[in-house]
Amino acid sequence: MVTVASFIAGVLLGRVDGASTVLTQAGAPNSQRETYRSLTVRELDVTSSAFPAIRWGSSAEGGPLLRLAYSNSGAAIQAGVHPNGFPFLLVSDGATRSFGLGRVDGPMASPILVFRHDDIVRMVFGLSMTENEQPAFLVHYSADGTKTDFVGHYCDDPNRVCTR
Amino acid sequence: MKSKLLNVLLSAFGMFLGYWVASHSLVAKSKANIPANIHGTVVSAQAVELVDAGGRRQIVMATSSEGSPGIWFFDKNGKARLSMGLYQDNNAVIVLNDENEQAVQIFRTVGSESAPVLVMKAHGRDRIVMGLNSSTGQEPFLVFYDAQGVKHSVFGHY
Repeated sequence: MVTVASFIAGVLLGRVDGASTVLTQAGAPNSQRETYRSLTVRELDVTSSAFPAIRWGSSAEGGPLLRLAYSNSGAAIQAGVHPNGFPFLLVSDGATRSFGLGRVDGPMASPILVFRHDDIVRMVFGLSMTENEQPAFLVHYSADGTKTDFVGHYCDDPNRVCTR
Repeated sequence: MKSKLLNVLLSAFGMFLGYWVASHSLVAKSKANIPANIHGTVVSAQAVELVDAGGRRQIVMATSSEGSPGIWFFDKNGKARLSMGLYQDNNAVIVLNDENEQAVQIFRTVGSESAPVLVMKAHGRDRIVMGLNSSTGQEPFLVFYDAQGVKHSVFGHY
């Protein structure tokens, strides 16, 4: 009898103690609207005609990624963090990246802004990736690829090795 | 004396068993309550946290301490490297941070006229500022500062 009474008391105690772990949903869900106090997910899609117009998740390389896209045209805004920790924000047209705002690899993690057309860089603007004092630069390229250093100097060698 | 001791032991055992049964059945129930996929026309939450396969925080959508909406992206060390949102005065901002969560690139609107401004920083100091100056009729400007802090105007006034 004593054991049964204690068992019941234990059950009641366990239910009271466990109830606090269940309260993540703030309101009763229904098919139209689900309300949560906090939500932890691996992926989150906002769909438009079954197409994920907004997708939150991980990029193919593993960093966090937000992608806003219009249908299957390729036009998109992407924001995220590369696995090396560098954040990026990209605005793309239907075929290529036409505009990029981000940071590139390098020991100084310099902020840069890149303008592209047809996947060709036409203007780069930012702080030097190769000089310790990180001076400002603004360069632009003509259609035939001629480079003009408008402010400062930009090292466009892919290995960032330039001599002046 | 022996029967009193037995009663105490049986009580303790019963209490322990009851607690174990209740807590384990609740855990199973609460796990069953977490859906693998949530499908709804609208999902509302005060905060949404995206985690990777290991449960590490990747993106947080929530309100800041000021009450403004914001989105924060984290690197693998848990540092906020990219954020976007609204300031308390409703101006919008996108910020790229370095590995110490120090801003290096800020794209934002400023003032009551929401003038667009781009700021690039190194070691916490403004090095490039570009945008429209709301105090001069939204005239464009581009200035940069050299390593000694001397200001150079490329065009316009800031």
